[in-house]
Amino acid sequence: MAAQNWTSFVEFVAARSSALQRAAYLMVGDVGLAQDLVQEALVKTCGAWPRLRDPGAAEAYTRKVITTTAMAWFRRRAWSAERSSGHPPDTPAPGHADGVTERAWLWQCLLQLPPRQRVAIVLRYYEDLSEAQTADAMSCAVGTVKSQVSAGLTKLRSLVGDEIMLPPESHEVVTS
Amino acid sequence: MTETLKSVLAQQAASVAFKPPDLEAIARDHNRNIRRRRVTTVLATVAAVAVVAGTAGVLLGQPSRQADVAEPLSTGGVSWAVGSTIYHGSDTIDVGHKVKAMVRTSVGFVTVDDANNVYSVTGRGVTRIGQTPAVPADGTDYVRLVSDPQGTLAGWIGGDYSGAVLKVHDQATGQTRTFDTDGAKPPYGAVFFAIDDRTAYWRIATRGAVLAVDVDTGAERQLASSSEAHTVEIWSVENGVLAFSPNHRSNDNPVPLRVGRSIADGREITFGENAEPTGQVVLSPTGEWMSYLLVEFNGPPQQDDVRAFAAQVRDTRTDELVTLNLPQPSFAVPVVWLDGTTVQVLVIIGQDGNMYACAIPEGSCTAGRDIPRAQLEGNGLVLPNGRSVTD
Repeated sequence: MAAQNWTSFVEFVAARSSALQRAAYLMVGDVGLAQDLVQEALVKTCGAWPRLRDPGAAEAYTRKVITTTAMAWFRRRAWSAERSSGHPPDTPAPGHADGVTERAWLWQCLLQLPPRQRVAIVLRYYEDLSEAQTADAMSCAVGTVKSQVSAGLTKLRSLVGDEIMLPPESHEVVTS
Repeated sequence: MTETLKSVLAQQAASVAFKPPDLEAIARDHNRNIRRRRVTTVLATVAAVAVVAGTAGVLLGQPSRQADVAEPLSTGGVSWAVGSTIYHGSDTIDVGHKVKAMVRTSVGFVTVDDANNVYSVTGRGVTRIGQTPAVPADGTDYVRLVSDPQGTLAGWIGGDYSGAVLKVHDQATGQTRTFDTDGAKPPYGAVFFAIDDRTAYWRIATRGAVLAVDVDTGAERQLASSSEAHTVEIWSVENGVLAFSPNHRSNDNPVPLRVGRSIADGREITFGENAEPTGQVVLSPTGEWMSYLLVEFNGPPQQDDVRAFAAQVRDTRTDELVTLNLPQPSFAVPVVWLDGTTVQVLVIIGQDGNMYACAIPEGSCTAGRDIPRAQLEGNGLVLPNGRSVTD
């Protein structure tokens, strides 16, 4: 890689790697795995750097590699079968519902979701991507994103109860 | 419960600390990838020739034989197998197992034996790389292996009939990747259609999908809607060009046959009245040409009313037919494209057979190597098209 390209690539890593690692962590639920995922994705981004040119395209490309690699890892390791018990984690005891406990409980419920549903929810509600951008990152159709998000939110409600305040988008009618 | 989903995600993400990416390792891996690509290109060239000679290890260590490496193959690289022997150009390779199906890559061959083991045959030797389900009872012409003859990848269905996986082996690196099908069942629910460069094409019925998958990144592209996925049949893909049937009649010839860069924009190819191509439709490496075996019937197509067979090559852009100058009368089957303008054709005259290499668009054909009459008898001839043979 030419020196100028390497410099701009290093600047991109410095500016965006933390955000990419956080999103990867939310997808896979494991810090070490998220770091490996981003490291592997950045090697591919480095190879593609001369044709990516602008940082926005580079971030979208890296996110796409992270997403597709994460889903491939899930498939290989059958994570959903290993992790999903089909039952919600223990509900916090009454009187102990402080913010930290609530967050931890909700996080455990999120980890119960099938991988594709969790990835779609992370891209939509954490990364704030549009449905089209999410579909591009997941290499699937927009309809698939809608159905994955809808199914994920439905399952989440069944796990945590109706009192959870979900984003308003979650109430849209899903047609696909 | 007052936490919103969005704030839970943000707080959870902010609650953990990450090590910064290892830039030194990224630079090292990036440089290694570049070197690997360069070495692979060189090795692929050397190994392809070395496989022909059957003495790759010796060749690589003998500078005095370098002239052989650079020498083009006079036979055009026609290949087939009988028993445990692969015939390639003027040389033979004994692979040590009975070959039941075979495909070519730019590096060597991938084979299936009679116990359904899958092997890689390269200049480095013969290595078992997997297992594939037995041929179904009605699958005498079942495609068991796919490859890109100009690339380094070959693929097959792994797992079993209760649930398949899709396997892709890279002969340049020796690595095999496995892709899940969510329990799709072969031979119709999980179908490995083709490999084009680094992209694999397959149907996974459990997901209602016909997909193009980047085997390096795992990125998927859906080619057909879920309602179309069960009837789309892809026969060949080269350089991004697909030869496919959008609404295929199961166990029938590829009719209608379309060619295009997507399922949506395919152009229908017509073959005249009372004639249909067989399923052995193969695109040239650039996608500009298409070879196939045409079956001509005495009347409306019926399996028991065949008048003649004809090996044909057609320009996919103009529909123009190329006349192949082959001995007549003969039975001829286009097999595989040796390069962008040369197609290997099996020609049988009476009880004798020969492999020809035909130049396109000229249509001139050169006899490669006679196939011993004994090899044509008993259905033991294996062509490098991935299809199985029966005893």
